[in-house]
Amino acid sequence: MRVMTRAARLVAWAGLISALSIAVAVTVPRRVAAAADGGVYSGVASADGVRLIYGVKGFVIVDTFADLGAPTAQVSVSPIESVGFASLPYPGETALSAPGLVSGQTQAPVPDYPLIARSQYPSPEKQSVGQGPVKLSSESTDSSSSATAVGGGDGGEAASVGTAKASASSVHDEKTGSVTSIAMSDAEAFTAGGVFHIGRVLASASVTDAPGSEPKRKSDLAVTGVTIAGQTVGLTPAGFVLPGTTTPLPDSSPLVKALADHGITVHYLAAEETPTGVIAPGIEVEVEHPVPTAPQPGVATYRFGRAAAFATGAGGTAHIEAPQPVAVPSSGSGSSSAAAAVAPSAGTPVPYAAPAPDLSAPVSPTAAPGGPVEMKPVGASIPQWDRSWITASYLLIALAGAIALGGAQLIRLLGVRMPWSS
Amino acid sequence: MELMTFVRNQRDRVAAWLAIGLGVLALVVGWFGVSGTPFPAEQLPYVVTGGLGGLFLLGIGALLWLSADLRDEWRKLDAIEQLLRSQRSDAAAPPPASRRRQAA
Repeated sequence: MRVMTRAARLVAWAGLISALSIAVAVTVPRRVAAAADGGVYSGVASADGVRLIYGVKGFVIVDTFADLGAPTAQVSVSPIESVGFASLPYPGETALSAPGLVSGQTQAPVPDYPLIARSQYPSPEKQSVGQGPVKLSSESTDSSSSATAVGGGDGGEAASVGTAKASASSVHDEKTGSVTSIAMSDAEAFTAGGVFHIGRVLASASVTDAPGSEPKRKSDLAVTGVTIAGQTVGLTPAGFVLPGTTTPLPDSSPLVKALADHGITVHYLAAEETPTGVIAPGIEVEVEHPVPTAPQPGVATYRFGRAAAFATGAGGTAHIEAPQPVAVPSSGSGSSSAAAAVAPSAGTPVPYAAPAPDLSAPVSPTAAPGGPVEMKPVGASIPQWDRSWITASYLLIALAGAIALGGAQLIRLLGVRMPWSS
Repeated sequence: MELMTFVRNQRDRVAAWLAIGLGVLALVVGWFGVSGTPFPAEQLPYVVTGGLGGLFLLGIGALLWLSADLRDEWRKLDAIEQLLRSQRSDAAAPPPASRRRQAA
């Protein structure tokens, strides 16, 4: 009778452990999926005032010697992180971590890179750096991040840039679940080779995505005050045009030849639309100069515009109409309206705005590969499972605890209690 | 009083149940902490304290429970050994004097 009682108890324990295992196995994926569905929003915005790339082809193994954004502002908002930074120039993560590494190895105090303001929720939520004309600030909350970088300076003997500004912001509306990302690139007073001048390049990209609706994208580029050898021209996707005309200047034009004689090439970079955002149009100015002992001339590439914004809305407690994209701020002396070409006026440069790009059109073959964006949108780079890996890990820990307890019960019942049935 | 006697005699089994109870409680509290925020920086303390701490307590509880069962075994073995020793000593002991006289 006592043996029967122990056998019944053993069966009961085995049944309990099996039921527990099945319950956990069924519950874990559902909870993980639910956690993922509720928090998969992401917003990324990135802008460079001007991006400088310098290289010499066929000189050494590495063709590109420098790739700097000056200034640079980037933000990223998601359930995993809310971060932003503003830097001038942004030297890359390797260079930023070098002082700490050297200090740790040599025990010698090495100052951190000074020209960067970084914020990350919950700490530090806000950081500002101001040194002379350089103003950098970044601020992060649990649902938004914004960064602004203002600076400017000399681009070398071949070219110079007056003032450059980059700003990026991304906001997640916890009520509606929508995410709005805005990026703006602004550069003024660019001169190359003493012959090519741009008054201002203003590019903006914004996207708003709400759960259950298509992303609302908007991008714009305004290039004003373009002159070649003192002659005002307009810049269109097809090339340079004289004010009041739409026909691109031929290669035989004296103005185009003047640029070629100074080793200057100008490309129009078309807007790019991605599944979660948009990259604004831009222009790329390549300035060649001879390099001693090198087989080919060095090329300094100045890339303007190309602000990028990405957003994936998710979560939210109420479904209402998503807000319209916020208007991109416009300041300074230049005009950012998409007006038609202005009639020529001798002596003074006149504003010229490039026509708004057709976002539905395929990407122009002249568009530079890669683009200016270093930060990839979180929604595209992080797999669904990884977004709630901590939640999944916790459930796995709980499962391990249940298995440990159940296993111990089986051991004590089968290994200890049953053999000693009397 | 009986409870105190039980606790004193079965201290490892009682400690096992306490550890298991605390472990389950830590896991439940940790789960509410983890699921209550989307930020890893706020989730990690709950994972470490509630998750790993709960798992550790459950392991300790299982170990103590096994220890209690093994103690029962040893008690039973001790009782058997004691019984065998007493029987052996009874068999080896010389018969009482009155019996010897009766036998003679």
